[in-house]
Amino acid sequence: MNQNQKRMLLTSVSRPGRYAGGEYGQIIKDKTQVKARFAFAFPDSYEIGMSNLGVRILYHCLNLHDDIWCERTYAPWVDMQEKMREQNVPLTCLESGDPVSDFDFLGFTLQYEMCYTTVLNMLELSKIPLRAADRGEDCPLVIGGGPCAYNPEPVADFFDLFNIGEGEEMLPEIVRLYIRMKDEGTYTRAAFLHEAARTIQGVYVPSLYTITYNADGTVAAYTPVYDDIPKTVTKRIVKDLDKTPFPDKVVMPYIETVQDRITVEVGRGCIRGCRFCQAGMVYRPVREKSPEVVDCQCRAIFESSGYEEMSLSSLSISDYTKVNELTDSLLSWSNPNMVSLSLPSLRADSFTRELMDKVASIRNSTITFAPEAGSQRLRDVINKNLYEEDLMRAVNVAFDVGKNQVKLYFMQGHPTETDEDLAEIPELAHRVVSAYYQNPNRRKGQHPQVTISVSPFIPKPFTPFQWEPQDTLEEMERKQAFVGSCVHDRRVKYNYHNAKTCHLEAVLARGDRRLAPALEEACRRGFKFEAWSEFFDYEGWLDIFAATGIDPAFYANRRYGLDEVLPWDVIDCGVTKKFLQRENARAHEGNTTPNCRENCSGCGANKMGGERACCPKVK
Amino acid sequence: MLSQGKVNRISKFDREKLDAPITVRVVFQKTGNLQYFSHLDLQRTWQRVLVRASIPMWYTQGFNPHSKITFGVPLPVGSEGMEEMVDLRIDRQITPAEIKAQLNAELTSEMQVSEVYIPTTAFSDIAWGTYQMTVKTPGDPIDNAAAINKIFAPDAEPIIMTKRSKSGDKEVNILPMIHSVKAVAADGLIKIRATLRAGNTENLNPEYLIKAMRDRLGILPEDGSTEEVWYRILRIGFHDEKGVAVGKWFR
Ligand code: SF4
Repeated sequence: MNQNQKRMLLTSVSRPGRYAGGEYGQIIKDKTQVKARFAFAFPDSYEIGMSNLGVRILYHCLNLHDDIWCERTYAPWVDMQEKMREQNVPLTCLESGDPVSDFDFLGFTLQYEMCYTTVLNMLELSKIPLRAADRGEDCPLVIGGGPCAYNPEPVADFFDLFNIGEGEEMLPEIVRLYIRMKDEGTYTRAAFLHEAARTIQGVYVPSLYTITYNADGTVAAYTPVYDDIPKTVTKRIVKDLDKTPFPDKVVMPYIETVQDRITVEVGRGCIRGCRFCQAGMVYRPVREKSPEVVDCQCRAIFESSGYEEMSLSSLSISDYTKVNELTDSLLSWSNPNMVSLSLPSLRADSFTRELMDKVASIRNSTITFAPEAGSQRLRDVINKNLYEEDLMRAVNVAFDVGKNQVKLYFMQGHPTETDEDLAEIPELAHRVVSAYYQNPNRRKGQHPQVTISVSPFIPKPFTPFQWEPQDTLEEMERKQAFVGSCVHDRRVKYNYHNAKTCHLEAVLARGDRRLAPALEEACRRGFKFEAWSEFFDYEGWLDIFAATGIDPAFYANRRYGLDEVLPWDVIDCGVTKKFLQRENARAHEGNTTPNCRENCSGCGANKMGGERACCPKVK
Repeated sequence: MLSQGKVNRISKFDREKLDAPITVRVVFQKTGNLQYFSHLDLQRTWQRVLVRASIPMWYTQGFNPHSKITFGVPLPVGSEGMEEMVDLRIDRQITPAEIKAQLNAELTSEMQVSEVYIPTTAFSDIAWGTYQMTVKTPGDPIDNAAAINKIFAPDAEPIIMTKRSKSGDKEVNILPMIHSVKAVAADGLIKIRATLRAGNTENLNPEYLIKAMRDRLGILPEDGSTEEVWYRILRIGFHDEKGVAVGKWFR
């Protein structure tokens, strides 16, 4: 497409800036001088995808290699898709404007299950066969990675290979192997996939594993087709976060994106071990970056971007051991440069006046906590390790400095939950409202606003709750109405998620390869952007499941057997199944488990190693 | 602290404070891919460009300090500009040449600064903007150019169009907002130079001319293939009511 054609196309759609490219910071190489071209795809809109830190990091890691050129591509919005089909224009990458189908690799980051149909939609727009088995030698190798790759099975048939775990080293290794085999003349698609599975830790090639099923529909066994590839694929981590490449320069979007700011991780993993939380398990072992390194990385991005906001990323920022030291050094330069610092994911029990004074991003009057359950009994079941006193102390710290808006996140449908537990959600909010009026330092003349946001529980692979059934749709909706009926104060605002979306998410999260025909059919029917409520079509999904002979309840509402072979058992995420079983039992007994710093509970992730980790060394 | 690659950059904190803040005008181009970004996007971009270029911006005092930047006439999405302008308020010693160099190091080739100077004109002086339009359409370019000249001539029939404004849609005759339109045929294309009302009080988006050509002359058919049918718009400068240039050549 030449510039004139591009202009006519782009000026005929909404927000053309999404498709323009040409951002400051994008990486341009001479395509005749590189040996491998990698299209990095985010299966959602530009605005969402450009905000993703993982993409920023991997874009940088691949482009560090002179002979690899990594470019970006996002899902075109629906109006653009219509025009593209009309004019027979394929999906292209932003940097070069070249069709994705011309690339050597097409990598998708799978951040949430609801993006699966958009992945297929993008393959279709690229004119690449949906199923890996149908792709010829000239087709790009389609790679998947990101959190959803921990159970890749529902989308396994559509990918040539998956990256399990952290990609900074693994992804360039994969591309280097490709270049080497091409140079040596040993490359064929099949030979490459076999070699990658055999030699690169973290690579899962689904076509090299056959699956058998039992009569009751559960998985019987996974069998590798070659003897020299691993029986289970162990995830990959980077051993030392301080030494792992991190971009000092980012691609600056011209249009407004969702999180348009400096974002730097302070570590990976979480010491807490909430029993529903997938991220808390699969990113173990807990490893930290040194404060000097975080400070340096933030500073470098500030200098190359001019961003006015900076955010530290972590599953639980206040658990970072050097949080005070780090915030002090950041503020020493961010204040004079008028850069504001925000700390998401603060835990109520470590929320202090000192931290508050430092990060009080002045404009923001809302403070957010996630108690996750209303009653202490249930918080113990999920291992939240948070007491109401902690929460009350934390909100009072916020009220002391004039804040009056509190946002509280909860989940409904945890194992063992009763209506009494649920009724405690609004009750807790009511008590926060009273706490405001009892606080002598509150800002006079202002009233509090407490928002409770309740989302249904979704059982996720590699969590202690991975075996637990999700409530049926009717039960989820009944509970939502019940919680609403317990709200008696107009200072309390109640939000809840679409239960239908959560139901489908559970199906996709715990699904196996037999879901492929349903996803294929969804793509055929034009499903895409399903993380956007306006595009989510639940009735359409029921229809598809019926047509493809799939019982969604088998995946969402069934209690998986503790010794059943799980669809994701082909993956080893570091944490052992034994540990998860132990944690599941403790949940049902109502027992909590200490956090990793108090006491190692032997999850098994320490076998992966890692610098600045709190785990005991493996003997 | 200077980071790598910022060779020409002196930190703003190392510059001497001025007695009072002054205004400088920056003239830049907005071409290529940048035509797809809105004026709002441009404003946000410049806030960040100025920070990473370490331009010593003056900040308003008070609770929520912010720098002051004022843009000339917004360029519509889909048009490129050769002489876009932004006025900055700075409060430390820095030369126009340094501003230009520091900014250009932080901008892509599609948005380079051509001039920095102390302005003696105001954006409110702007009355007319001049556009260079290139049109590719089926038919004989010579005939088409003649027809275009005819419909936009001062004594032509009124061209009534629906103009969108904050107070709702309005039917207006766009002819009085056209100073001059001159179309010629060249290399199979039609090249048009159009001077149109520009500024805060009255502004004519050059797309109206395209629409008028489409409605009246049937050129640039919307269902045509994009290889055969396209147009581009480039804004090249501004004039005040007396015909004196506002911008690069007038200071
Ligand atoms: S090995 Fe022990 S300390 Fe390390 S993550 Fe697992 S439970 Fe925590």
